[in-house]
Amino acid sequence: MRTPLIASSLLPLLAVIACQRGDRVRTEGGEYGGTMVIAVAGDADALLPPITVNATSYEVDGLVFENLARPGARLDPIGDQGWTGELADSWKWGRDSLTIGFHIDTAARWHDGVPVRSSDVKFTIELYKNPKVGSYVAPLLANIDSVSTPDSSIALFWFKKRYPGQFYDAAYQMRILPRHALAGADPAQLQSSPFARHPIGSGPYRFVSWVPRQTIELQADTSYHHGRPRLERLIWSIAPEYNASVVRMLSGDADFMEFVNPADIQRVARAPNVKLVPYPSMAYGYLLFNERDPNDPSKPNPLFADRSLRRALTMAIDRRRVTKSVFDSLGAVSYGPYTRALAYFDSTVVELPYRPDSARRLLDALGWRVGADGIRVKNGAPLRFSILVPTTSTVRMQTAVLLQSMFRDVGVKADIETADGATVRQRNQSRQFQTLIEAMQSDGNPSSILQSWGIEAAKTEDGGNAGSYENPQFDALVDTAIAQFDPARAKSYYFRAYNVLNEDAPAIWLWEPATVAAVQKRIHPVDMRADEWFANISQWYIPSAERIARDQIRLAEAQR
Amino acid sequence: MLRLLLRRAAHGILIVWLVATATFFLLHLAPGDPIAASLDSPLTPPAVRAHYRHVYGLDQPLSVQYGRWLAMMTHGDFGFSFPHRRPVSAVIASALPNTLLLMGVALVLAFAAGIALGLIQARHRGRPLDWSLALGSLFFYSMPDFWLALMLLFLFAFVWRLFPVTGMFDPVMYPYYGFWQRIGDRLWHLVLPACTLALLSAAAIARFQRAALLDVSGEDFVLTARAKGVSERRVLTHHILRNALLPVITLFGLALPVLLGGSVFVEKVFSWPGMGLLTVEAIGTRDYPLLTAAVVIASVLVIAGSFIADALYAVVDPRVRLE
Amino acid sequence: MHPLVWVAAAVLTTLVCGAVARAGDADSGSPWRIAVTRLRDNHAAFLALCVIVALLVVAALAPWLAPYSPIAQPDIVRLKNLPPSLAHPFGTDFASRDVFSRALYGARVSLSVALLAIVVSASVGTAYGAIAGYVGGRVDTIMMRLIDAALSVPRILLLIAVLALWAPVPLPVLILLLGLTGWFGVSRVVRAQVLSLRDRDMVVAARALGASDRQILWRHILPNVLSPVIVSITLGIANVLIVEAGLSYLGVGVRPPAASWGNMILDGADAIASLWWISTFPGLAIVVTVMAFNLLGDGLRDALDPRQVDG
Repeated sequence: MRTPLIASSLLPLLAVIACQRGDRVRTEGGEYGGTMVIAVAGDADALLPPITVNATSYEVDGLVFENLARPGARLDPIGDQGWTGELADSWKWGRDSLTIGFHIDTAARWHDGVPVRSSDVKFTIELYKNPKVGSYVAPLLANIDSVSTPDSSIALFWFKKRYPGQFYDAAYQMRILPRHALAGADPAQLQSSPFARHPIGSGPYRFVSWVPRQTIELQADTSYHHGRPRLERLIWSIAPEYNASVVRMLSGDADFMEFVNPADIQRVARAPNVKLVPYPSMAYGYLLFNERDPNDPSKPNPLFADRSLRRALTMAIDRRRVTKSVFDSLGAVSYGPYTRALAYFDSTVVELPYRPDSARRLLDALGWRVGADGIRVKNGAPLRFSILVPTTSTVRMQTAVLLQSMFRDVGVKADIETADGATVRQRNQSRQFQTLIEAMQSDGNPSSILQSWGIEAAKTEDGGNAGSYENPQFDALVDTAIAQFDPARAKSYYFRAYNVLNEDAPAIWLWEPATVAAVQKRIHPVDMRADEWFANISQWYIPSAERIARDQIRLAEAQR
Repeated sequence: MLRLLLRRAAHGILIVWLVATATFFLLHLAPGDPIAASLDSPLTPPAVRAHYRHVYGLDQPLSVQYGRWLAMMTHGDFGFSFPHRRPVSAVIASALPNTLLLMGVALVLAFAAGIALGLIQARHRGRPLDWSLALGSLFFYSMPDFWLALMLLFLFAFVWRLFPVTGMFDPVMYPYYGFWQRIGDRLWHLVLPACTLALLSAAAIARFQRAALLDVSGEDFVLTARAKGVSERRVLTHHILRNALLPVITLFGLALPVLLGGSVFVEKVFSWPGMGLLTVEAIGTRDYPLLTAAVVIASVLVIAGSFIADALYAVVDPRVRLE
Repeated sequence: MHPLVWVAAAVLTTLVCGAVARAGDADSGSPWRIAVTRLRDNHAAFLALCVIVALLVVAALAPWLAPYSPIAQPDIVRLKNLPPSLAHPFGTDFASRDVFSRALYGARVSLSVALLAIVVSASVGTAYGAIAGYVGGRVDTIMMRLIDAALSVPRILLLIAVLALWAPVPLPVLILLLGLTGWFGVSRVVRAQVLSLRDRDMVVAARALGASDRQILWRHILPNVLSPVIVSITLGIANVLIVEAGLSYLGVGVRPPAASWGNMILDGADAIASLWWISTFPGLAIVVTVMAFNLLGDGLRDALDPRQVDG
């Protein structure tokens, strides 16, 4: 606030951040204890994995429950290379690759002391697939036929067909639930069942309490089968206002904040008690063109159905400058619908370059001539459209304002339409927009690209392909890639699909935001993953010498 | 008297029904619904949204939905909040007390400050102290509530770091505090939000109090008391203040709508988990059942407030009778 | 610039000219003359009037006074988020726009929105109140019950809900909504005044002479209702300014890149810790303006109160 935030002053800052990267030193033994307060913006909805959709629930559930196994950091979706067991300690493929048998760790216990058995796995998948539950994961499990339980520790998955993502679907799409606690619940009323507000899992942390809209508390499960977590208590403290979280980081009331706005990086970096930890991002932002007419989705959009116009508009945007303005040096330009953190990131993809002159020439050639007021006109209609952005996102609002002025430079008038988040989502689903700035969180699996850009998702009434981009060649390439068992070949098909996509310019890829977390210096985080920053939280620790008052509360006392 | 009360109550119920019905249609005719707003990811299959719309009856004709909702309302059932995954009554039960606490403290603060200011101003009528206080209170009176909250947050939390700015108590240590420590912790968290709310209404109260005091000072019984040689201090406390306080007390009910409106912004800036914040969030998630309930509760509060104000006025001033 | 701004300017000019003409025409003993004299003697209110006139002039001359364009982004990387300096007295925002210039243009938007909204409120409120008061009886009861219902919902809540659910709302509709939610108080005041006038001698006499209801309303009742309406207009402007700022702060009011003081505060709200100037200056502008209108409103109330005796 007292020093101007100019580009040159950021260089030392980046150095500071670089030095503060997550500690990789692990001090063995004797470092159990401590409390970590996590500042989050939103309350959880229900702590029940099949139906939960919100970020806080996802974090809490991720520590209370376990998957059968976890992928490596790059989230490779093919086969089981790099995977480590979580609830399962080993697995075995059937000879025809139509079955996988998971052996459940016999030391695994539910938090109420009951051992975890294969029947829990069977129960879990049946619950996820039950149409009465309405789980959004269910369609992803369509290729799993059933689970049988030859004995109490082996869960045998039967698949309908052989495909590269088999293991990913079986091991990672579901968090395993306790049958004995849920068997009596009505599947249609799961969201209001007592379990959803007091979950029992098998993960490193057990659920303690949830004061709605205020706090959620977890405590280390001392008998966790992969070893006792080091931090003893985790408390999510809920405060919707972003500023409030910053204040609490600076004052030491909160220990961890998942995302610091670029504008505050400097200030937080100057705080003596807080360190900044950048970690890989799964999010990317783009300006999406609607290729259908917003007033009548059965007709093509009078502007954006034209591929050349989309290409011209893309070349009018200096994406590097936008990224630098919004994120300083901490963001990166986006190349397509994926991020650098993923196994299938393609840095060699064809990019439409920033060439405002070419953009102008192309627009001239398309018949869009500059009119009296500097705005291009064709057949009496001005080259004008709106950019829809949610007011809740400062970053996207800022981006829209920057894009608007770059479009104006080539004679295109863009109006910014702001609406609250729910309206934007609703208009996205019903295709009632000209363009919108979307920030997507990748799920790590490259095949999900079809859910956002495939023909099927464009044709479904409120499917995920809101821009209605349709190119059969793209669909075919992705389908081929999905069917490949050899990672290198899969990659080459995906890369060809990305090139087709970029040449068609269905969107202007803008940025991958900088994800910089703020952490109190006494906490030593280890390995923050892109998909789940908390995945390795049981390795984080607070050295005894650095503990403060709230770290001194012992478990026995806390359990009162 | 009883019949009058009953009539007022009947009118109140009629008004609440009007408000509730208007709100119901206002919400249900708007584009979007709670399911689309909550299950918003492009990765969510459309069939899942359709499933939940069916479960909560959102796929039925509006008239059917209205009839069912009205029947539920008369049984005191506000419905189910999809975004919170809890019955609306449970969500409100955890938020309403927090707002009442905040508003109660703010009301007491506002009246204490307002009455004191009015008193000082009246005593120094026309002198620099009078108009500088008047100008000062007008300054706060003229502030947008959210901006005042933002500025207080900036000054007291970023620049000086004196007060906490989120929630109602320390999220970690509170359960381990003793009784007095708990009270202290709660008060500590109340300082900024309550003061913001209080500052906004204190100015209006001060103005009213000053005018009332000056009105009363001109009355015959005051002049008589002075003529009898009663000390100026005694005149002020025993004769003037007593009579001038009464009209001010009736402001209590009228201050409620102002505070309710103000609490929306104050709760948002200070992350106070009360009704104001809940309502703004419910708008964001298109949580129709919760929103309707919130509006109904707000209107009941306001109507009750104005009723209490009228009743107080009637008790205080025997010349006025209820209608 | 939005054409509505010019409409606002025209409305305001008409109002001021009308008031001046009225005051000039009247005899020295008329209530209007007395009111003007009283207002001139009320230093605070007079000062407030000067401030308001100055603000209106600034708003009108914004293009000539502002050092920069309010939407130009000279350098989004190097000139953004600069603290206040001589070149940028109020600093620059995230898009390198000059906050001072935006505040000047913001005055235009905020003031014209408030003025136009209050015109809507005052007309609707006066008409509603006059009808209720004049017709009386059952109609009056029903009309007042509806007002009770409307007043029992906090206005800001209603506006946020409507604006968020039907977003994005164009500027004219926003003004209309602000106007249509702000007239309840006016109509109550007008009704009370009309009720008390209805049975006065002059009205009774006019009626006896065969004047129609419409003539009585226009000739005898409305002119006498004007004073309280003027007072509530002035205080109402102050209120609308705050409400509009609040809505724009929540992102449902005036849309960017147009600068209103409220959405300028929103621009800086999340970065208040690091970039305090973006939100602070537009907020101060609101406070000064609202204070001026409140002071003027108080002054007018004192000046126009026929019961008050000079001295």
